[in-house]
Amino acid sequence: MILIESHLWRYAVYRAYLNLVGEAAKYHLGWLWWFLEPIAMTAVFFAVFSYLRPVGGSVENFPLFLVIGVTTWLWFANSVANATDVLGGARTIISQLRVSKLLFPTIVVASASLKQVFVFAVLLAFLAAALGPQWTWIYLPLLACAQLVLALAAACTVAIICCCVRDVRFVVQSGLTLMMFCSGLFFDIAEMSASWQFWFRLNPMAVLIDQYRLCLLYGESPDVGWCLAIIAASGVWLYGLKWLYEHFDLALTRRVIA
Amino acid sequence: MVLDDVSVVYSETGFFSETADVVALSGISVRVAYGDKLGVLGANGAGKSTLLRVMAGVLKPNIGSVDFEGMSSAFLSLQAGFDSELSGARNIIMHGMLMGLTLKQAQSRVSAVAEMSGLGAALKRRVSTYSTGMRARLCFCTAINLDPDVLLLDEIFSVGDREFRATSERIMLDRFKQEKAVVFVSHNVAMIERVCERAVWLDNGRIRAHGDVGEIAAAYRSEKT
Repeated sequence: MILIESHLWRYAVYRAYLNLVGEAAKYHLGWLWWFLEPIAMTAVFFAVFSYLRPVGGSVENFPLFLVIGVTTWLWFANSVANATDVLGGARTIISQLRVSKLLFPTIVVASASLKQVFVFAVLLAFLAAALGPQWTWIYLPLLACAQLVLALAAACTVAIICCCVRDVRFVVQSGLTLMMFCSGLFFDIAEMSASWQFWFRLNPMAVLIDQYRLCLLYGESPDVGWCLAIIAASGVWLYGLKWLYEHFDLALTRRVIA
Repeated sequence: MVLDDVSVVYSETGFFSETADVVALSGISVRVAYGDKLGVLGANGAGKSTLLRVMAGVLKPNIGSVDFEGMSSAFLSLQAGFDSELSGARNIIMHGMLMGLTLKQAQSRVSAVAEMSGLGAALKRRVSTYSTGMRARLCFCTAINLDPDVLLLDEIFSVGDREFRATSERIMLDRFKQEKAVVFVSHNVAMIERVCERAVWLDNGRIRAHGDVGEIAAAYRSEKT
């Protein structure tokens, strides 16, 4: 049993699939929004940081540099932002069934991750057309795995904190915005001074975005050690969360129902 | 299943508001055995739904203990965890998977629920388009098809037409004739009298009376008139 019981994993994946089907049916442009959202955000950053406040001049292939950062960032940010009220939103299930509360942030991350599979497919097709395929793309599953475990740990953390102290949900969005500016979306961390780089690299998303660019854009092997460290640290963090969720399971139920 | 001296308290705390404790249940001792049909009567806020949540293992009592004795239970109310944006059929599948079935096993239950509920083609529609009566049919038939040892029903027959109530009552009595148990919360005293053998009357979270359904129902009626 990894994190949740196997039947709950099956449920989470099926639920994530239904969430995507439902989301696509809800909007006029349907699933196109999965691609339009990162494109729109990239366009805004490109306009701002190429013309209004140029910072991308020294970065090679700045539009592609941006689009890789934005697509991977949105996967993480949507996973965390949608987890803020996920336990309260599952009130009708929690009030009737004894089920691990970890299931609900897991569904949020599974939905965002399924969507990301399509986003990565289109991104790779786009990069292949623009630059030609590169052998270093074989590292993409490792990077995606590291980000998946990190996003799951972050979403489960936000979900339990927001359930216990509801006020926190108001600062999550601000926290994500701060983290976005510290993740090197529109600038290259490698160009910063060594002392700043040290602080920026404490942010795992900054490290991951940097590694994605090395692997997808510059044809260099990512730092496997960093990726494994993120997986290991997030895994330990998740097991700590699993203990917390199990230990406070009935208190969480009471909190959701009350 | 044995509940021994169970008390449940809900707390609401805040930095800028006073702490308020609500005693939902106090000193409840009840036993439910295989084959029992227990009715639960009481006014709104008496603690009926909280009692079912404790029996479902969803809530742990602050004081007292619950021994499930290996019995599985399914708790269903009109606020069942159905997603209004999905079709009835997909909700049946998801509910089954949540209870441990595989996708194929859960899919195979859809036709049985369709037939039993009489919802037929309506199962392809989103649940948000259902009337409350249709939701009740969906809830009841989904739960009863999971075949639990104890079925915990919370006001599920308070809506729906007479035909649905009669059909559900018949199905419930057929399915739970032998080894299964039902704990049935309702304001419909006549239905509790027909379905149940024993009844518990809850009043402000405490047991006011517990025993033969006829005697409890008569006492409850006389209090209400």
